[in-house]
Amino acid sequence: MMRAGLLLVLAAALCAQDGATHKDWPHYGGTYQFWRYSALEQVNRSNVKRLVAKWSFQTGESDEGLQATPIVIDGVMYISTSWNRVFAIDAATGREIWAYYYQNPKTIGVIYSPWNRGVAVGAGRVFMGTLDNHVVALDQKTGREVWKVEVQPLAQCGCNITGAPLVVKDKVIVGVTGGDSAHRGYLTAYNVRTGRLAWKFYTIPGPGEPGHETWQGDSWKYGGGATWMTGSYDPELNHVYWAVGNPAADFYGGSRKGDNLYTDSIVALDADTGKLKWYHQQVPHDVWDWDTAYEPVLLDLRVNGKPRKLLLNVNKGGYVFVVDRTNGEFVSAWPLVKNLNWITGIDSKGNLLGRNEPKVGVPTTICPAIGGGRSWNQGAWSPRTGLYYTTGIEWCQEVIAQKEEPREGREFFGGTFKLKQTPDKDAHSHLGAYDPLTGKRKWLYRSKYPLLASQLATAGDLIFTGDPEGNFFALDARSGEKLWNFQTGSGHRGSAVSYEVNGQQYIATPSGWGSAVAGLMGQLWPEAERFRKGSTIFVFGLP
Amino acid sequence: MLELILLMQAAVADPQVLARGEKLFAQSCSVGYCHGVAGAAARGPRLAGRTFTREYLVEVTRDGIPRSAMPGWKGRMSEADIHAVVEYVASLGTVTGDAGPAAAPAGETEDLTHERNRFLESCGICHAGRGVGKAVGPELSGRTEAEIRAGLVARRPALVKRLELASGESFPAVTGSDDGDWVQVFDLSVAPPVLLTLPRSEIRQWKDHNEWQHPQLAHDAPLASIARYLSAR
Repeated sequence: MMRAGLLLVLAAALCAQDGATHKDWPHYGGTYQFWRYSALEQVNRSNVKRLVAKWSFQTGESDEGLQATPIVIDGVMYISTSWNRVFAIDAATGREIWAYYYQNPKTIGVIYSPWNRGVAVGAGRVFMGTLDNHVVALDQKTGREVWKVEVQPLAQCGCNITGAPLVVKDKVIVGVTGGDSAHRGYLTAYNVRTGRLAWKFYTIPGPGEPGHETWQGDSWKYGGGATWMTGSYDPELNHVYWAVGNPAADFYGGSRKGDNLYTDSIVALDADTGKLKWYHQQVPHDVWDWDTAYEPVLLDLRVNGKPRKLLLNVNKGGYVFVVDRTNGEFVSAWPLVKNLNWITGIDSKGNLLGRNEPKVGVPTTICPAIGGGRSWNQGAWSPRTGLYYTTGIEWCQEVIAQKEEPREGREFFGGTFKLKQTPDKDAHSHLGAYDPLTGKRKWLYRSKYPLLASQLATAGDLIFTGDPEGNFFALDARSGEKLWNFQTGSGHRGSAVSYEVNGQQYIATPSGWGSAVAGLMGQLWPEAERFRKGSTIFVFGLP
Repeated sequence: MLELILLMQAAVADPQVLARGEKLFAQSCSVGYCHGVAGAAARGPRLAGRTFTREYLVEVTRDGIPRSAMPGWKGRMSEADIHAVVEYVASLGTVTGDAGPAAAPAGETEDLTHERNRFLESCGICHAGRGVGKAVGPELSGRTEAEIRAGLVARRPALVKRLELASGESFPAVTGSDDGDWVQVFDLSVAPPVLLTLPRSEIRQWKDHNEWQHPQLAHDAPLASIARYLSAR
């Protein structure tokens, strides 16, 4: 009897989802669940004011800033920069352990460059995708290249790799850019040890496959569907979740009539085979460039009293979607921004209502602007507060669609855009704390400029993030009150992390302004053209 | 006075060329996050309201800017189109310098992008040809369809060996560079080939490979189209 009771307790403990990081920050999103939440609590609301800089590290490569998320394992930090430099750094002192400079061609020739958003570490290797569309595996101890494989010739697909890979069991999974090129998107997995291609999932079904009928004529060959950010993984279901970007051409859909599966969808794939388990399309036949490219966050929550395994994802169009991650069933959707006019709403089944589409040759005002109701910078979830923290941007644009013929591997945008003020002349940004299911807001922190850095939540009930003016700061996770601020000297576009070495909790943040969306800001805020670049890691701890 | 004449010259661009340039700019330059509409600030630098020399605009449009996202459009656009784009960009700001030749120079080459892409996705993953592709196997520039077909079906290409590692593992491979302590080899087990960097001590021996054949994707490739690309002048 007693024995049975013990087993029950154990079972409950095993089932409890732990998406928190502890001493290490092992994956791009913190853990496979992509919470961006650290269980460390040495730094908390009562002592955060005493945080001091412990060390900094200059990467020496400031082209388009520093957009990566550091990975920290056993006291060593691994980080990549623009132009595919990788560093291993002593996470307690800032001493360089090794450096690897990938040899890229002199010109890349696609718009998705020269940034890199991070590495993956596993099986004694550090993995990185490159600007010329290769994957390299480095020895974790020495930084020496172990294997290298070309994913697809860059000149052919107009695609490459800027996102961080994801290691799952014996495979490293890598997504590609190319959603604004005449290209057929895919996700590939390689054996971590040998570099041999293990599987390839096309995000656009080929002839004879289900979903192929959602593409008109030959449009499936050039329909985009990039996999440019990083996914998540549920070990229990053995599902890899990846978000698939917009269809190409972005603003002109006249030659790709149909729903255009699996663009703007979350796909769940069998981690071992890459076979599709389910999909949920957020925006059928997208004509706004509303990538479903961002992080899939895995949450176990009660819905109407019933425990469910959920997946939360912020769409670039400014809506947050929640689905059941066992089968893709729609659960809820809520708007993240106030200025949103491309639809009038979403019904209880997840269908879009009142579409406001760009027109050929005629300007249409669309809100939010192309940079998104939120950009790719990631939100954070705190199981302590039960709140989801993420940024939003209030801005609009004028879009003119144009009819274009696809040219394989070349730009395929189908129109132009120009940023525009919001109707109430109040373009700005914010960081909010939301109920993940309903979007009910607990607090909102206002920012003059678009907030383009990720959030880090900690068990000290703090939210760390940075702004375009170089401020790195901590907010009270419960009230949104600003508790601490440090000026790092260049704007924030990367992702802060927390880790522990020798009993000391550290908070690390990349600092270095740049990126595509940062470049667009000049259209609304001319002074942003002069924001200073940089590429430095700052690390903080208690004295 | 001279400056005024130059500015006046700059202002007399052919309206048809300008219109063509504007269209090309919208399709190829102000796309996505590159240059903004009409040269507004975007990911790429603002072009509107700036001063350039025409020579600079031609050079950058044609050849791109090394170590930047700015591609060279030579080969992707005809000379006449490059000229039209330059005229359009010139109209957005102030430009000095000659208008340059409006017509395309003689000998504009045929567009073989489609054929090149068929090469890149098949033979090109292991062979170089006309400056593109991977130099794992022999260079294929100038090969005819019959020559490619003959090479494709030949059993046991001389270059491919069976590499046996110290661990006992073995696979079809081609040698790459060798700097003494470290040896590079291409593992041909699965397409695409994987470039491995191995310590010499991990290599037990190279053996002849009597069974190796080109992978199915090479057999399925449109060889006539590929030969057209490889043998083009």
